[in-house]
Amino acid sequence: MVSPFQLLPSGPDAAARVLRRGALSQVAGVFVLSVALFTKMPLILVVVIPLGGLLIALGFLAWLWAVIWAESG
Amino acid sequence: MAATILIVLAAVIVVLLVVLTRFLRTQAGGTARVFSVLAMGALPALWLMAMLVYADSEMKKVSFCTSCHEMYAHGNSLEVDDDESLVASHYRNNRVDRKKACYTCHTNPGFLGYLDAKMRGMHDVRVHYFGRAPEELELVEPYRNAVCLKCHGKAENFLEGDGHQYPETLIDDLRAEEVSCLECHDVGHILED
Repeated sequence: MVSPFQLLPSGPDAAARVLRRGALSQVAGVFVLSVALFTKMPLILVVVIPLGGLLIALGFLAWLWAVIWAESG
Repeated sequence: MAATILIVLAAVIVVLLVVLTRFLRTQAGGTARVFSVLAMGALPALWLMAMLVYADSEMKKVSFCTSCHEMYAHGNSLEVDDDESLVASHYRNNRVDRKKACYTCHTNPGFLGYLDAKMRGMHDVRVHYFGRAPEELELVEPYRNAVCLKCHGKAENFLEGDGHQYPETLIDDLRAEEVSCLECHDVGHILED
């Protein structure tokens, strides 16, 4: 039986690719979340705070995966 | 000041992340990984936490609560020149943090009280934008003595004041929420048209 982890791409090229996409996700997250610094409209805050946080968290997870897993492939 | 610092930090993070993506086109080795610890790990996490604290602080302010039209009258009642009103007497005499008066008095104590306040706030946002608020606003649940007691509970004028000595069990009853503070102190917001 093949482990699901073995289906994930690994290796230096995969790590670089994942890191780049994670970094872009974090850039997007920073821009989205920064909107909260310029407006206090409740509806906008309710949208941008979770969305920006999620994008930054996804980038962090990508970084975590790349440095822990992908390099070991 | 806090907003300025956060904006500058956001710019620094974006620059570092863009530099990192350029780095990663040529190598994914040791230097890039070390750089990524800062650019993708520590700084974004720190900034995210700071932003959440900042946003949470902003959303506790009176100006935020009163930004919705349903709250205009309640916001104005903070300044009413009538000491019989609990709201006005607390606000005008600085008995609560003026910037966060609404949050202070309408949040039950403890972390669960904080969570409950956030959930109710989300509900109010939904009703404001997608629903219809009732003409006359009412509390969703009876006002809890615990909110009063978080400030007054250990105060001398509460424990030893004449008004709280009879019956003898009154203070215990207030603490147990069997008697409401509002039975005697019953003037809250004085709403003016």
